Amino acid sequence: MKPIDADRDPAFDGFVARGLERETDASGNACPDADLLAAWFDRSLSPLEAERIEAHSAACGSCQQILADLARSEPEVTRAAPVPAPARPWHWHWRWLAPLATAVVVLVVGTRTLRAPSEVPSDVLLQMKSKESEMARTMPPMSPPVPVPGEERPAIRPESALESKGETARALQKPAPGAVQLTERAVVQGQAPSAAAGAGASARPTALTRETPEPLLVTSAAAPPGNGVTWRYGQGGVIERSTDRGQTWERQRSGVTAALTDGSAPTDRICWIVGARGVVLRTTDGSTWVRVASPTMVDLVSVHAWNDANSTITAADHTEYVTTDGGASWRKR
Amino acid sequence: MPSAQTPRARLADERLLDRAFTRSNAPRWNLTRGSFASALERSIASRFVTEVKTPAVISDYVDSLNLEELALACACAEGQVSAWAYFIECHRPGLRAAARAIAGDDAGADLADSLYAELYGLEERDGRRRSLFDYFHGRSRLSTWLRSILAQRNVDRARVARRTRPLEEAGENGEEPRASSVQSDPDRARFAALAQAALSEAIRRLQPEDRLRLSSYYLQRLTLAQIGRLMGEHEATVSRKLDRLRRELRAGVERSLREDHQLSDAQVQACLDCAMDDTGFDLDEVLGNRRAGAGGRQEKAGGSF
Repeated sequence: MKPIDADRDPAFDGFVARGLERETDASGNACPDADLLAAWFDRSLSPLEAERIEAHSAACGSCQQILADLARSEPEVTRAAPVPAPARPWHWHWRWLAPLATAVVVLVVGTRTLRAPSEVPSDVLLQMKSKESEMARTMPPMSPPVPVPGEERPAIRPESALESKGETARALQKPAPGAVQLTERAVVQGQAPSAAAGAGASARPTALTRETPEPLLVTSAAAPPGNGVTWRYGQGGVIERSTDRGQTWERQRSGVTAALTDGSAPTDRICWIVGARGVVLRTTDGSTWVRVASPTMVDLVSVHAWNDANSTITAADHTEYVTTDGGASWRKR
Repeated sequence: MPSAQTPRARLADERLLDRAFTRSNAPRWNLTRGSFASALERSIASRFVTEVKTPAVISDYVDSLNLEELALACACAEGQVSAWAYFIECHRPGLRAAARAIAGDDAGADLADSLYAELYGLEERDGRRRSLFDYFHGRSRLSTWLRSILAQRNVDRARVARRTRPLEEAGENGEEPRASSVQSDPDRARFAALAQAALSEAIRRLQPEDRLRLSSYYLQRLTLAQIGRLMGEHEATVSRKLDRLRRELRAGVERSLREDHQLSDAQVQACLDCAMDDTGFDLDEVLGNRRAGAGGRQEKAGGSF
């Protein structure tokens, strides 16, 4: 990777390295055992436990070396070559159609407007926009871009993402009195077939990256109009549900502490959420979460559910698994 | 490492045990419900040493465990042949590769082989064979735990090797106080000391995760991708954060020298020059020979990120 600050003074590096060396091995506490360090590495500790490990390891040379060896011996790191895009199930391909159609419509409208603005009456433009909206509503959201190693993921502005969701999104931005605040720095998620189509597509979390999952939102757009059922989820296995378009949030018991990375809600009662270390969760009554037997221990980065029985999950190693029986069995795609 | 004989938390919730036992697929290894319950109770006892544990908290904890791998480890500890066959088939290649990555090609094989003896448990205590698997509590993936054990053993070996190394050899490796130009110049020595103190203070003020990020780069010599894996970040993010940290450290040192010690800009620069001269300009020299065997970072030698 090209150095960001190529012209800096290398002597200062030596100065910093020596300073760190002097300040290391000064933690003063007993080292955590291998079990805890491994769990920290796998991001399966509670936030408080993780903080303790970090505070200790920041000043403990032995623990730093163990953690470094964990990173050094991690198989995923040893094959850091660019990864080709995995074959997508059909719904991923369909997701491109909405933005593609939008782009075509915009191009056509733009071209015609530029060539002969007077030839395009405003009602025609409105019709075209209406068709565009119709397509966006009926198409599933687009596939995420496959990240290129070494390339920065563009920051996602929550405002723009939320604006795209219209009223619901604006409501979600308001902190509800007494509600538990998640750091909503990511996206409105529209995994349900008609949710956030097109509009929220660019805000979809970038799959297949190993960035720390940020708290996300998953919206059940299949809920009846006015129902406004929404789930949000994130670090530490936190799941919350709102039944009033984000005005108030109710914490739900997920039964896991792993970071949750993606969700899909085909109806206002059925929702699937996946996370680190192969965690797959499902609710069929909108409130009780059950951990589904997972086909893999690899971090899961994406889920798309059609109903309570049919779902496709994607792991960080690009493997896709399909279930047609609610997770009782999985088939590798 | 806590004892495997930590007083057990009674797993009174039979429904929870049933659920966990079913999820663990323990019967596959001929593991009895009682044996699995014992492993689960050990795990709970290890997690909630001092904290109050309510049934709901325990239930959440148990649901978060890697129960299938806990059952596998438990069966291996009991010496179940089918479990061992599965373990060898699934984990042996990864274990050896990890040992080579950690300790180098030569020492790696030895490190991995020595672990098998511990995993099987050659020592007996109270009439029972003590297996290292008893210390796996299902909180991480089994493969991560194994690599963590390997890394720990490697650190222990390095510590023993340092302790038993002849003095003359230690001297050859530069562990004796280095004669530097500052010793013959009192002003230079004072300036260098001021800069070093300011840097130490700036390092102590860092957030633990930032300090860990810096140490991973400067001391452990991990690549950006490896640090990214460690910290759960993209390597571009790591690079950006390291660059920010470095700038903040430099700004912090300069501010401290200027404000706390009332030094002029020229004196601040002189302090930094002296300190950098004292530490040497070559990062490899500063950090050299810190790791035996294992390959350090290979992406560059200059220390830029």
